[in-house]
Order: sequence, then C-alpha cells, then structure tokens
Amino acid sequence: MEWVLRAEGLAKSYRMGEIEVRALRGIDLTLAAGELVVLLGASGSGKSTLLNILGGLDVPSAGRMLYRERDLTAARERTRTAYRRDHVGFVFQFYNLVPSLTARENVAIVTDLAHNPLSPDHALEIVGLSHRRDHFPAQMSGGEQQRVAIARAIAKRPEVLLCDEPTGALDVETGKLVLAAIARVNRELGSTTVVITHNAVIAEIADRVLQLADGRVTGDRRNPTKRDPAELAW
Amino acid sequence: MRALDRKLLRDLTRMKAQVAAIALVVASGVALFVATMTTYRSLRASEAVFYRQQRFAQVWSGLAHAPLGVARDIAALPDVTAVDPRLVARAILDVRGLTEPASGMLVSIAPRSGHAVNDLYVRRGRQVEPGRADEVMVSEAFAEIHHLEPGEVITATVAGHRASLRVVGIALSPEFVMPVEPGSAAPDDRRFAILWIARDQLEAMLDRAGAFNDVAVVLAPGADERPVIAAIDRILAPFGGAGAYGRANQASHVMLEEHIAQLRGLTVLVPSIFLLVSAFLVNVVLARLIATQREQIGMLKAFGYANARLAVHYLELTLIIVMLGVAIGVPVGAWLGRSMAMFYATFFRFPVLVLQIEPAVAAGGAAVAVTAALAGVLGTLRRVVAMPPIVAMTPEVPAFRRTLLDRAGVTPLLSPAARMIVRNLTKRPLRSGLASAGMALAVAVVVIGGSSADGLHRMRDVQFEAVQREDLSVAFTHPRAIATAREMRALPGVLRVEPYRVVPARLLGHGRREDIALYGLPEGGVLRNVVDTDFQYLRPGAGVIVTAWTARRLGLVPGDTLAIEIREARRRVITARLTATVEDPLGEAAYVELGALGRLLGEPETYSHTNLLIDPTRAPALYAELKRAPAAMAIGIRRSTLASFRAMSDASLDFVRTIVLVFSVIIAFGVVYNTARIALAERGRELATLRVLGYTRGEASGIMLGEIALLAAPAIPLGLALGYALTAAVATAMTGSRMHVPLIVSPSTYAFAVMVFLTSALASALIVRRRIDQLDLVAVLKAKD
Repeated sequence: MEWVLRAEGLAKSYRMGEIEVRALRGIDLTLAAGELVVLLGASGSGKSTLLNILGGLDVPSAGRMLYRERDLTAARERTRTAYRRDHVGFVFQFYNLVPSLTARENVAIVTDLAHNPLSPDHALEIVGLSHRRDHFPAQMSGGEQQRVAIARAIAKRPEVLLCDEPTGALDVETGKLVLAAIARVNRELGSTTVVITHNAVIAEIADRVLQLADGRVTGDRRNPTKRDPAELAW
Repeated sequence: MRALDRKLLRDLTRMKAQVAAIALVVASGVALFVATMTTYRSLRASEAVFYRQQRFAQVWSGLAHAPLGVARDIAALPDVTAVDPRLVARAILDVRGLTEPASGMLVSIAPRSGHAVNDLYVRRGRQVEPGRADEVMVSEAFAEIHHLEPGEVITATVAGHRASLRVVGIALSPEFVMPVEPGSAAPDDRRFAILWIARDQLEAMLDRAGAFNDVAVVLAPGADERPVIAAIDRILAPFGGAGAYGRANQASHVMLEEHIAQLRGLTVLVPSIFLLVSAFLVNVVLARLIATQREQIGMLKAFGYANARLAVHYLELTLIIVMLGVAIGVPVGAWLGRSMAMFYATFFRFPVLVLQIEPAVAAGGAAVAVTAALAGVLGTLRRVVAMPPIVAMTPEVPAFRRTLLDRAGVTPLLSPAARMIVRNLTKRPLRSGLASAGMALAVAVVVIGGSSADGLHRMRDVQFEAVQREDLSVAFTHPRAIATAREMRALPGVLRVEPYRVVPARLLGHGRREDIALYGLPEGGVLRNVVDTDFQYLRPGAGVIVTAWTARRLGLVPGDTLAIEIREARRRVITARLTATVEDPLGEAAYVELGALGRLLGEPETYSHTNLLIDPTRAPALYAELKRAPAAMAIGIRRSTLASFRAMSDASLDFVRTIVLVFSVIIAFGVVYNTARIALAERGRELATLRVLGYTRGEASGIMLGEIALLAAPAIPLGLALGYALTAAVATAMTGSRMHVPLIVSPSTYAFAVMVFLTSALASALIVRRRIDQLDLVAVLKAKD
C-alpha cells in the first residue's frame, strides 16, 4: 500500500496556565494515498490537534510525523510552510475567506503559489460555483462560502486535504452539498482526505473511520460501502 | 471589582504597547505645552519684576546738550515721577587681552546707591563714589567675557581724550539687558560695554559741567506716555532734542522683546500645534480601537448592559489612556519648564527668576488633550451604542462590492495580494484618509521642529554674508567731508575704504511713524549692500528703498512720496520718493545713494562711517592705531558681531529646538506605530489564514506592510506641505520689528523629516513583522471572526 502520512507514537502536550494538557497520548496511524478518512471524536478528544500536526501547523511533543518518507517531526517553520504550500489543502469550519477578494480571487490566492494548479475557474466548477465566481464573500451564503473554501483548498491539487468541521456552521442541506464537493474532489483528484467531525452520520461517506477519545485512537474501521453524501440525514 | 471594570483593566494590559504609545504622544504634547508656557510666563514675570524693582524708565530722549535746569521743566510735567538728566558718551576701549578695540557707552550716574531711574543692580564690588577720579562700573556680560574684576583698569578714548578708568563694580541695568551698540545689527557682549561713571567725572571729560545730553523719565503707573513724549520733544527742541521715545523703541527692550517673541513663537504656537496633533491622533486611534471591539459591545448589550454603562466604560478607557499621558506630561513639562526658565533667566541675566508653574497651565493642557480625544471617541461610540445588539454582535464583515477600479479593469492586472491591499484601502476611504492624515501630521510636526532655525540661519547669512561685507566699520564723532575718506587708506593694512552716511530719522506715514536709520550708500560700493532675504540685491539711487516690514506698518507702497524727519541737531522734514521696499533681515532702515542723500539734506556730501576691507595679517597694527584715533567714536567688527549673534541665537534657540525635535520624533513614531498596530489588529485573521494556506511569513507580512506603505506614501508629500504651512504660521509669530525671520524650510529639514518618518515606519514595520511571525495559526482556525 502506498502511504502518504504516517504518525508514530505521536504525543502533544501544552500548558494552559497552571495545567498541563495532554492533547495526544501516543498515536500510531498510517494514511494511504487517495483514502477518504473521517476522524470522529468528541470535543477535546484531540482530533484538531492531530489535524494541525498532520497539516504542518504544529509540531508534536514526542513521536514522529512523516510525509512520504520525509520526517516533519522537528521541521523548521520554513519547511513546514513549504509543506503546507505544496502538498496540503485546508478547509476550516468558518471558511476563512478573504473578504476583500471575489470567489475566483480567493482561489487565485492559492493557485498563485502552486506549481501545477487547476485554474481557479476549474476549481470553482468542481464545487459547482462557476456562476458565483465574481461575487465577494459577503454576497454569498455560508454553504457557498464553504464551497469556495474547498475550491481554494483543492486548486493546488493537494496530496492531502484536511477539513476541520467543514459542515459545523452549516444547515443539513448545505452541509450535504459541501460533503458532496469534498467526496468529488477525493474521487477525481485522488487527494488523501481527512474530515474531522463530531457528527457520526458523516462517517458513512468515508473509506475508513477513525475514532479518537482522550488523545488516543480508540477505533479504526473500514466502511464496506461508502454512501453518497446526498443520501445522508441527520 | 465589577466584571466590566476588570475587562477595562485587562484590555489596558493587553494593549499595553499601544496604550504606552498613545500616552507618550499625549505626554509629549502636554509636556511641551506646560514646559514652554511655564518658561514664557516665568520670563515675562521675571522681566516685570526686574523692571519694577530697578525703576526702568518709560521715556527717553537724546539731545545736543542743555543746562540741568531744563530737566526741572520735564520733572514738572504731569505723570512724570522721576527724571534722570544725564550725560552719555561713546568711547573706544582698550581692554587687556583684546587685540581689537572695543566700544563703550559711558553713562553718568549719581554717585550713590538707589537711583530713582534705571537703578543699578550691583553684582560685585560697589557703586562709584563722589570725588573719586575715574571710577567706573562695568556691565556684567562684558566683564564676564573679559574676566574684569573690581580693581582692573580700562583705557578709554572719550571725545578725543584718553583716560584710564578703574573698575569698582560689576552691575546690571534694566536699560541694558541686551545692549546693542548704536548702528550694530545685533548685541555683541564681547566688544560692547556699558560703563557707569560719576556725573562730575564725565562732565569733566566732555567739558559739559551742569549740562545733560540724554534724559530718562519714569512715569506714574498707568500713565499714557504719548503726551509726555510730545511735551519732552517740545521742551528739548531748542536744545537739539533727538526726539523722545518710549520703551517700544528702546534698543535693549526691543531686543529682549524680540527674543521673548521668538520664544513665544517657538514655545506657545509650536506646542499648541503639537497638542492638537496629538489629540487628533488619539481620537483617530481610539476610534479605531473601539471599532475593533464592536462585537464585545453587542454581546454586552445582549446581556442587558445599558447603553450609558457601556459608553462610560469606553470613555473610562479613553480617559485612562489620555490621563496617563497627562500624568507623565505635566511633571515632565513642569520640570522642563523650570530648567528652561532658569536657562533663559541666566541668558538674559535677570537677577531674580520668578518661576510661574501654574496649575491653570497644566489644567489647560490636560483639558485640550481630554476634550479632543473625547470628541473623536464620542462619534464612534454613538454609532456603536445606536446599533441593535444583534447587529453589533455580527462581525463587521466588510461588504465588499465591485469598485471603480474593478470596472475600469485595473484590478485584474494586480496579484490577489495587491488586490487585497487596494480593496481594503478603498473600502473605507475616510478611515484610510485619516490614517494618512495622521501620518502626514507626524511628518509636519518634525518639519516644524526642524525648521525653527532655518529662517534664523537665513537671516543671519543674509545679514553677515551679503548686507555686510566689510571687515571693519568705523563710526566718527561728526560727519566729515567726503574728500577726507581717502586718508583712511594710509592706515596700516587697509585695502579698501567705502565711506557712508547714517542719519537718525523718523519715517512718517498715514498718521504713524517709525524710527529708522537712513543710510547713504556710495555708488559702486560693495561692502554694504541692500539685500533681501532671497539674496536679491537692490541698488539704491536717487529714490529711497525702505525695509518692507516698516513700509507695511506705515501703509507705504513704491511710488509714494515719503516724509522723512531728520533727527539730527538741526531737525527738519524732507520728502523723497519711495522706489522699492526690501525684505532685509535685521533692523528698520531706509537706503539712498550717498550723493543723493547730500542733495536731499541740502548739505555738501559728507560721511559719518567708513567700511574697511583689511589685510588680516596687519590687523593688530591697525587696531593699535584705531584705539588712539581721536575722530573715531566706535569700531564695528563684522566677524565679532556675527560670532556673538551666532552664539546668542544658538544658545537661546538650540535648547528649545532640541526639546521640540525630541518630542516631534516621539509623536511621529507614536503615530506610525499605532497606525500599523491597528491595521494589524484588523487584518490578523486574514493574515493567519494565508499563513495556513502556505504563504510564507514574508509573503503574509508583505500584504500588511504594503498596506501600511500605501498609507504612508501620500503622508510624505502631504506632511511636507503641511509642515511648510505650519512653519509659515510659526514664522509670522516669530517676526518682530527688528528681526525679520524669513519663511525658510531648508532641504535638510525636509530630508530630516522624511528620514525620521521612514525610520519610524521601518521600526513599526519590523515590530508588525515580528507580530505576524508570531501569529497563532491554530487559534485562527477555530475562531469565528
């Protein structure tokens, strides 16, 4: 199996005032190329911390983090920035679009940096937003904004697509549209995709479901059949 | 402590760097205001006390000579409380250790202490005593420079006689706070002394027993000097009265007023501008700061906090920051004011310093700062308070729309980063404009601080490099026939001789009058020129050229016919044509060609002065001759006057200038830093997002710094122009009757202002850059704006 990301004994602790918080307590994990993984866990289970380390935003306190044989465990800020820039796409719960740029321009922010990107128009087409490309974030609904965020994340053809609660701020119908976009990207571009959620229903669209609790992986199962996001209900 | 008060403290702690920067800007304005008001008021009070205690005269008149009995007529005039009929004589002095001849003015006094008019303040030694031959008291400034102590002997040539004068005391007089030798452009303490001598001694030297040739008069408090001046003129007319005048024309008083007026320009106007600038900045900065808290305001309102309570909360925040600045500014200002007042009191040699540290001044400074800050903040608060909680709670998502630039097809040419910058700036043009205006003010403030000496330097350069080109000037006791001027060539080391005539005169026009020096300058002369402050040379001919300041005062324009009252022994009024006015740097004068002057006066061509160009290697021999020349009344040495002028203006202005400059730099930095920090606060989330998406630190800061640079760029030309305009206001305030300070901002001042601004911008940019480097990338993903 060709793997893309690997964590070995990954641990992370940080201080919050007087208290030492142990967010991750030894995680071993290998993510295969093209996999769509849903990471389930309650609030405080450590899933965001794990995602941040996988995405090169943070470094572990112990253990190793590898991206295709490259050890990013103790990588310097510059190396991690380059890793994010070249290989990782991010989708956030609150979209984080630049309000002063149109949909197309928000995507271009990333395509300007990338080596072999999709055109911004193509990326918007994949998420079904071609007709909104000249609109500013303030002129779009939440779902549309999140789909622009997805277009922005995938435009660089990332090998890794990390989505942190992408439907957290959306209603069900809009959430399903966003998940459909993520699933389509995963299928068509073959990006290894990790979706963080606390909503167990969403796990049904995944190839593989990881359960996190108290900083440890407590479950790792494969879905025999993936469901189309449109069929979901929650 | 209530939760809201706790929030206030936390907010203040969190923003401590910004709070400090704003407080420092306020403190700078307040400190400068308090310091300079204190200095100015203390000097005024010290001057008044000195004048009152020493019974400084209000009216003076020179005359040829009159018997002492005539003074009784003056004493009998209404409102006259004391009269000092005295003898005054010019002398050339030979002082130990001084190669060149010095000039002296001998003034007779009653040989006892406690004079009813212009009482001497004895610093060391004693008063002259009656019957003791050749005792003199010497003015302190001259004595100090030449280390003259009681017991020392000075050789003087008075009216052709040489006399040895023994110094018995060192004194100050309200009449000679800043003694200016008649005919000289500026005080020269190294070469000009006042010598007080017992009346009988001077009577003997001048052979004028029982006579007086000068009179000083003290008036009853509140008396009008004009009828007294007219009456004295009438009484002295038969005795060659040279025209009575009040304090407004008394040389030392005018000079002192000029200096205090300059101080006022520099010390009242400049700090007032600073205070207003800092207040403007405080309100711009605080308004934006409150705008960034609008969600918190909405949340608090949703919880039921009343509008009034919230308004008070933010007013408290504003007041604490402003009062922090006031709390730093007032004591610093009082301390500086005390040092400055002491410095100037020593400079002017006031024996008593009346320190006026007034709570009202501090309160005034504080009130301006607080009022201006509140005025700005109230506008913002009103908007926020008027907003329903739900609206205030939703982040102020800037609703960007397509702009003119988009439609014009400009933006597609830009990178997304550049587009972000352009759209952010054009989205809120008022806010961007205010930020630029604030930075422009910062530049302007440095221009004012830097330019305060530029005009003075230009004035000095024109006077001593262009108007006066001679090495020496010699004043004679009486006008001499022009043919005798050639004799001067025979003196050792004299290379060129240019005779000229100076006549004391009074210009009359539209019911007003100005006492001036009427110059007759030789045709083809090069040693004395008529030059304006732009270095334009004018050639005097048959018509008269008059100082522009004087012409304006009298409402005269070229083409007018002038009435000139000649104030020599034989008084008469002549008329001449005004051909031009000249913005000359110092004094009030009228210029005409020497031959034409002779014709105007109806006299054969004569001269009263000569300008000399000399061979410096033979100067000592020449000086030795001049010290004994019987016909010479006074010797002027250009280089010495220049050095004295330079030392004096440097001493009196550099101190204030340095302080102004330091504060202007603090203000400039405070402004730029705050503008950058607020821009960062508004864009922090956006920048963190870009960093997460893979933008490097450099690329992310580039957007922020680009935005700051775009705000800063127009601030430079705008600030330089504004600085020039404000400098003009200061120059107007500094110009008096004797010194005509031109409006000059030198290129180096502009360069300095730009440099200070760029350095502040760069330092702020570095701090912002560091902040961007430290942005918490993880937090931003979780935060909802």
